[in-house]
Amino acid sequence: MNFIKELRRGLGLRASTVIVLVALVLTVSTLLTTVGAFDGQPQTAPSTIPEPSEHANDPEANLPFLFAVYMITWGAFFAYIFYLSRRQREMQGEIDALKRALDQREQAEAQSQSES
Amino acid sequence: MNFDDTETTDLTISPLPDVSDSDDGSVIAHRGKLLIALVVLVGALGYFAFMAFEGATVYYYTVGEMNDIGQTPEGKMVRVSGKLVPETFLRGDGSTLAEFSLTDGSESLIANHIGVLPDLFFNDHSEIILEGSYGSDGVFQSENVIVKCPSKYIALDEEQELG
Amino acid sequence: MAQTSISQPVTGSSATYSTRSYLRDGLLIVSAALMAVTLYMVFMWVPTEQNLGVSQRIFYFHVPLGWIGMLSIVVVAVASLMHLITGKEKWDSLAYATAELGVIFATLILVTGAIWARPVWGVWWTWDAKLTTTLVLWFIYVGYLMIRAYGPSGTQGKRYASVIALIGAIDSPIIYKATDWWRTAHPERNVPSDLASEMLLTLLVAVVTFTVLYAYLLVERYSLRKSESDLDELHQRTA
Repeated sequence: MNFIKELRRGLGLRASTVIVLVALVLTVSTLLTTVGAFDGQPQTAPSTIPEPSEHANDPEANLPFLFAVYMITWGAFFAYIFYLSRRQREMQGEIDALKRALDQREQAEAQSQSES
Repeated sequence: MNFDDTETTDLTISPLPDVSDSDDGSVIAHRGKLLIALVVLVGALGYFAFMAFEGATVYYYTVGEMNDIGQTPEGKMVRVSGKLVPETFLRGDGSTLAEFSLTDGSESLIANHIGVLPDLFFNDHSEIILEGSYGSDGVFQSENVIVKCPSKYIALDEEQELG
Repeated sequence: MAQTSISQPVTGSSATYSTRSYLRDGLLIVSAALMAVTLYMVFMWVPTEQNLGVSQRIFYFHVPLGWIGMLSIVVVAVASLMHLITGKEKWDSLAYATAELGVIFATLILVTGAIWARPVWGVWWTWDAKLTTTLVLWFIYVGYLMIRAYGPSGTQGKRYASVIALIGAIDSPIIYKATDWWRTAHPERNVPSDLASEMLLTLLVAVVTFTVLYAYLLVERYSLRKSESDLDELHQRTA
């Protein structure tokens, strides 16, 4: 996709690699903690009535999910802020290039006027 | 500095994404993406319309309604919702099959489920939604269980004081 | 060749992007401060819920994200219409910026919802009215951006995009009312009727915080987008 190309071009290989690695670490750690929350769940339920599994009374049992939500929310916002600053930098580059080109043109016109 | 006597200044800046036209140059790739976008969009809207107008708007039936409707036609899935009758819960030793009754206050229904049940299934405040089919034997075969949470949040401390 | 003497400085009407923008700095500081307060309240202060345990704290993220996702598409629709009526570029910049933000919020609500649903409901997803309509909203945001990017350029593309935004603006209140109008897996009330006062306060603070954060990101993106538009126009004039 164009976006990835732009990213590579705008940032250079090193920075893009760092970002991809960070994103990967965030995603993997989130996935691992979420999936890890299922370890220890009994494959068969106990037989007596109505016995909930040992997790039921522990209010902190689902902490990994809360962690995952928090990570992903912040990750998304930081990713977006990063994206904004990248575009900002690109735009600044464009403005500078445009300024230079305009200066060149104005000088060219001034020169051709003085010649005529 | 060397200036050409050309009419236009040579601006070797690439256009920004999104604001200007696609810099791919390939009209076909361009159209292809648009087509995909539109197909996806129409598909999504179509599903929504389908959901809204078919009988599928009824996300679940109550126990009473399920009893009135009776047996589910072959191959179809329905959902029924009710509260667990705690004394009726049975699961054999080491078995994955659980049997229990759901009630809507006045009527009740027997159901089977194979597999692990979510923790909140056993909670007094939860409403149980079963996805499956109502068999001719009068037992609802549940494929999926969704636990619906009560519309109230109670702080932990309060409950300990009450209990 | 026509002389295009640029009488304005290059930054021109994108002076709103000057580094001395008090609105942007102010919003950033306020949203950071509010976020600190919210995080304290959510993780340290508010009591744990009795039935759902700590996963219930996801509520304080999930609900504000949802409300803003629903609000955002309405802004997109209104801004798109204003642009078509007045022809002023700034409305279009607002529409585009809001749509971009909207995708993020819509994605987050679906993802946080799924993560919360897994331990509590027992499933990652179900096709009830609320989730389905929210997914439709997500598609609408994505569709809007794709049409802007890959659709016909100029007014026609913007018209198509506005139609999509309008559909979204209709979907938005449907999402809100979904738990009222249909039976769903969600609790009947979007905000539970019986709520400990600390929880309600935390929720309100969270809603305000995310709204301010949204406003900040919107102002940033909007200014950036306006500058990009101006720059693009300059490109065309100097070409």
